Amino acid sequence: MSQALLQIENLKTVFENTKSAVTVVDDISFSMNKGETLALVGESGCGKSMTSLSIMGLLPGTGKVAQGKIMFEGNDLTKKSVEDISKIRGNKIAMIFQEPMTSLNPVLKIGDQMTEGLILHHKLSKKEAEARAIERLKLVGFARATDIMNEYPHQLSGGMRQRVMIAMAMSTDPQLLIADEPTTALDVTIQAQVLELMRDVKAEFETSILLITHDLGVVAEMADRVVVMYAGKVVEEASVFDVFEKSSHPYTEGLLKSVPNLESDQTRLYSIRGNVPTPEEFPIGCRFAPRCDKAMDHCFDHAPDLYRVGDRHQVRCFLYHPEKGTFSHE
Amino acid sequence: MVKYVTRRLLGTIPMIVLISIILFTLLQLAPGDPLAGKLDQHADANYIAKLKEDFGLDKPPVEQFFFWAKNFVQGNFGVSFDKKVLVQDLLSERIGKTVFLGVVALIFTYMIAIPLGILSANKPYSKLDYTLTSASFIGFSMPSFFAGLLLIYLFGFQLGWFPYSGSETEASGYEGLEYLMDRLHHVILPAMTLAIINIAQYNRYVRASVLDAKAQDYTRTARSKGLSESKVLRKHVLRNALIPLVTLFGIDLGLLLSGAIITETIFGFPGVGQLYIQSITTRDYPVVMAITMMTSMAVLIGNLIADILYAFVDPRIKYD
Amino acid sequence: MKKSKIGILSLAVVMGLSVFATACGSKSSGDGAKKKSITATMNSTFDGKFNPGLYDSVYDAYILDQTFASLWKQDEKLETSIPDLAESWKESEKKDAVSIKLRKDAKWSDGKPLTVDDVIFTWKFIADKEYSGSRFEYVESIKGAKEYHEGKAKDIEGIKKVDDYNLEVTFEKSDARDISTKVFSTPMPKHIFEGKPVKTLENDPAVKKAENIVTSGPFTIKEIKAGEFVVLEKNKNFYGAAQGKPKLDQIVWKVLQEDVAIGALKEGKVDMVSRIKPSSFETIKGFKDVELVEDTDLGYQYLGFRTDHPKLSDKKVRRAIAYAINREQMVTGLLKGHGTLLSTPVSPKSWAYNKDLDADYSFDPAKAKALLAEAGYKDTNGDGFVEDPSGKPYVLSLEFPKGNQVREQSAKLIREDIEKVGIKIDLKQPKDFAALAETVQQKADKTMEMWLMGWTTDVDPNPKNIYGSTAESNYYRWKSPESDKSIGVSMYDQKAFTKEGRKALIKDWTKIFQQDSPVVLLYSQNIIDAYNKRVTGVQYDYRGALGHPSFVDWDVK
Repeated sequence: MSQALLQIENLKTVFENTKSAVTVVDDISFSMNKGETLALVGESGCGKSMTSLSIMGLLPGTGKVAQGKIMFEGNDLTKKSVEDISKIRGNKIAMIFQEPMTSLNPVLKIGDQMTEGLILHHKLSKKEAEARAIERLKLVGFARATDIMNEYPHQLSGGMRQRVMIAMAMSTDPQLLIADEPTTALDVTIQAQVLELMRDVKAEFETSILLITHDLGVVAEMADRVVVMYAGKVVEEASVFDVFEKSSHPYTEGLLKSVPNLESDQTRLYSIRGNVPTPEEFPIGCRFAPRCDKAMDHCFDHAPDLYRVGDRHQVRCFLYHPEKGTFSHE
Repeated sequence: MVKYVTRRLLGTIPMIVLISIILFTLLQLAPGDPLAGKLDQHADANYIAKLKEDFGLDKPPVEQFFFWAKNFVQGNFGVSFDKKVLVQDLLSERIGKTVFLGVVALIFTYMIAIPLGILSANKPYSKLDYTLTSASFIGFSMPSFFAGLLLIYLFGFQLGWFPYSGSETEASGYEGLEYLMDRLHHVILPAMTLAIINIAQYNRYVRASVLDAKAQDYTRTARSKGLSESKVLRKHVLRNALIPLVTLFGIDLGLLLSGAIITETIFGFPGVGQLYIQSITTRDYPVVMAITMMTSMAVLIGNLIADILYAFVDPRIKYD
Repeated sequence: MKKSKIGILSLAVVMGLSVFATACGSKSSGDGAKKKSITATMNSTFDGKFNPGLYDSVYDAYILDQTFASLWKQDEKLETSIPDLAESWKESEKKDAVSIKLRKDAKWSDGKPLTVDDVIFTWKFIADKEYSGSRFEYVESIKGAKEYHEGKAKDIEGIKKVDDYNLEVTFEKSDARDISTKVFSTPMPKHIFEGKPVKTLENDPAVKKAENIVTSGPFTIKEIKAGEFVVLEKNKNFYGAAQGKPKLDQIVWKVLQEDVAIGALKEGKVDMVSRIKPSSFETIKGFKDVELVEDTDLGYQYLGFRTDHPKLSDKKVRRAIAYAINREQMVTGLLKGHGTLLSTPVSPKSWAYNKDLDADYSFDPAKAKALLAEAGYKDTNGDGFVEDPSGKPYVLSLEFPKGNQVREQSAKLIREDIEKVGIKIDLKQPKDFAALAETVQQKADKTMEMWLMGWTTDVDPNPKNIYGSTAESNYYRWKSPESDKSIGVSMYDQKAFTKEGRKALIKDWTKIFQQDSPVVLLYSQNIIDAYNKRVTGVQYDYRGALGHPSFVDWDVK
């Protein structure tokens, strides 16, 4: 535990303007070990992407980390200078994004985009960088990798581009790969290929993966451990087994129920009622209470903490409060 | 590419024919006899009749048009009604100066507007940005003649850095490089006057374009690789943000030929614009036709060049 | 941080280029320090046809004034012609012939002597069938010129060369007008133009290119930049004995927009600004070291009537309008006093001007109303405007061209004045000059009623070209046998052969003109020039009305 690769402690990310501040990531903590795949799960707008961008130091606009620590290999990234962060970013921590169609620069050749990180971080010559890039492109399944180097993104399909993104991210042998919805924008068949590829890469380089997704199918296939986020807070943290077998938080249950299941004969797909609240209108009590089927009166004006329910399994719900019986009276 | 260019060039021919027909018709319909302006108690009827015959004005308009068109295709732009000299002689004296003025104005525009636009986009909504924005609006709404007079007063009279009028020093005897520098020295104020409105426009355009590119996913990707912000800007943002400027270049080429009218008058800078305004007031149609046709062709060719350039700067565009 | 470097770098390049250019420019501007040079400005560009027989533009004339000598010039009171290239001349008793003697020391700027051959060549050039200019009128009265012009004769019968410096001219008939209006007086160099095609001479280098133009006046043309400037330099071959050699080495005539020119005058960057707007007078008056000169122009502004239009055929109506207009107000208000009231088409600058005829057109609205009533125009429906004698509404249209600011402003004043005496005016939008001129000139036009325009006139009063019944320029369609007869007498009658006699005859005609009022004469705008006091020897006299004075005596401190 002490040798965690990444440890997030009480991270709070806010967007500030002159009049007000909006908290999008609110006091979250979790940790990842080397070689582990952690899935960060939740609906859109729950703060999972902002968590990943906080780690990368790539928060858009006026966003910034207001408090907490991001410990990477024992160093707090939030304390580091822009220059030092740049040395880690794209080198020890790499990231791939949701939109393969727009994430590559349309006017630069693939080769150019592949090599610039290598030249910067590994101080390779252009030639050496190209050789490494070609090698990585082959690794992600491009037979004609040398040709691809000279092509522009518009000449490639979406799946190919995402493979390029993965090859690019993996080119510097990062310890941590952050994958933000890497398959969401892809065809189902391509999705499988890409996931397969990520697993292979992970196996080969022992890379830890922070997988951000809303797709529990992907989670089941890829993750070792799961952190479920809702409205800027972690609501449940558990091993992948625990999540699927004994999920505890009503929100996690809801998410699981809304996955289509061939074995069940239900005609209508379940969906959690209501929408994720925007950061400006987070409820005072439990943030999920307004959408929760099991909510008690108490839930609406008291915010629950994370309660331990098993080995490395925590849940933010009063149902799991050690003295939960006492609430029904209020 | 050759095929594409050929096709485009052929495509401009009907456009040019159409423009010339419309132009000729408009000039025919406009009130005012080119020879009537020669009100002079000494001008007798025979003289006017003789001039009409000389210029072919006694013939029906359709015949006049074909006569003009035939000559135009052969590179003969006719004889000025007003000055009675060959139009190509009138133009050849002036076209070089207007092009020189236009090119320097364009260079000023690019060299000033693009960096300022980038500066603005780098710190949007900062004090610097607001200052540049306000300056742009002032520049954009300032009439050319006012801007021209202001520059003449400041840099021509008060500071004395630049000549206040003309395109070269009179009776200087300069040759070679010295002559070129003298021309450059003279062109700076009028070019600046001409560039002011353009700079204001381009500055806004570049700012928006850079801001847009900075918010794109590929920029985030570039940052995620750990590239420094300046490298991200130069290599990833600008290449994308400045591509649309190529389109504007095509339009500018035409504007520069026709847009210099007021500037040339104020600075006594003897280009095509000065001749154009004079020819319109005296109904000197052969000159008006020649200049308008040249401007139209410059716009058409400018757009073609812009399209071709586009293929070079944007790999997504290919002409086959 | 790096990004701002791009901006700073670009600005630095721009500034650097500029400074480099500045350095280069200023280094050499000391060059001409030794030369005596002045810079004068013209408001609009010259055409660049620097030839006395071919030029059209008044700005070309600015250059020709200083570069070409004439047979004679005007005396300072504009009364008579005095010798220049012609040493002397003698007109016959009946004013139907003249013998001219040229001075022997006159030379062209290329050193060739200027002789009778040049004079004859010039006259024949202007009379040539192929000649494309407008000056045939100036040789038309020479005997046989018409036949030559029509291609019926090989030579002009009335011209006889006696020797290289003497010639005799016979006219078609006795002609009382001054010699300067009867024969064209500025010779062109024969040895340059002989044998060249007459029809397209405008395109010849000897008309357009500085190095090819050969002149006869105090200055030659050194450099021409179309639309920009003309540099004149002292003509070393100028005869000049009588007047002294020109003192200036160089004159730069620059094309400059008036506002900029006035600024440059204030800064001492130009020495002379010619033809200043009256509204700028007060501004310039405040400048240090600047002198203003002002003179009455020979030209005038008028309100013209279509006298054949049924609405305007009654001369009482035309006279009523003349009395209704407060012209004084235009001179004091619009021209700020820099103009002259005009009551006769003969300029106050002319020897033939009759001051006692001035009173006829004083501002008198009461008289205007009386005349209207007399003609049967009364306000029958009480709307404040008169109806015509048959009781129908009576509205007159007034048109005017764009371009002359004072004239544009005067249109509104004229409407107000005429409406005050009860005639409703339909003031049209201003048109481009060429557009309005076309309609004014059209013989078949029935649409126009009244319009504003101007004339420039010659020193010798000759009403025939404008007011003669058959004159091309009689846009008023004023047909008066009485007037035609009177004009004829003043030109050709024995009584006109003396100045006094001719003046009396012109007075007779002027009275007829005033009674009929084919036009209302409005005002004559003054010519205003300004020059720096560093220029010395400047003399403005009556001749200022003809153009700029000769710069031959001008010098710089």
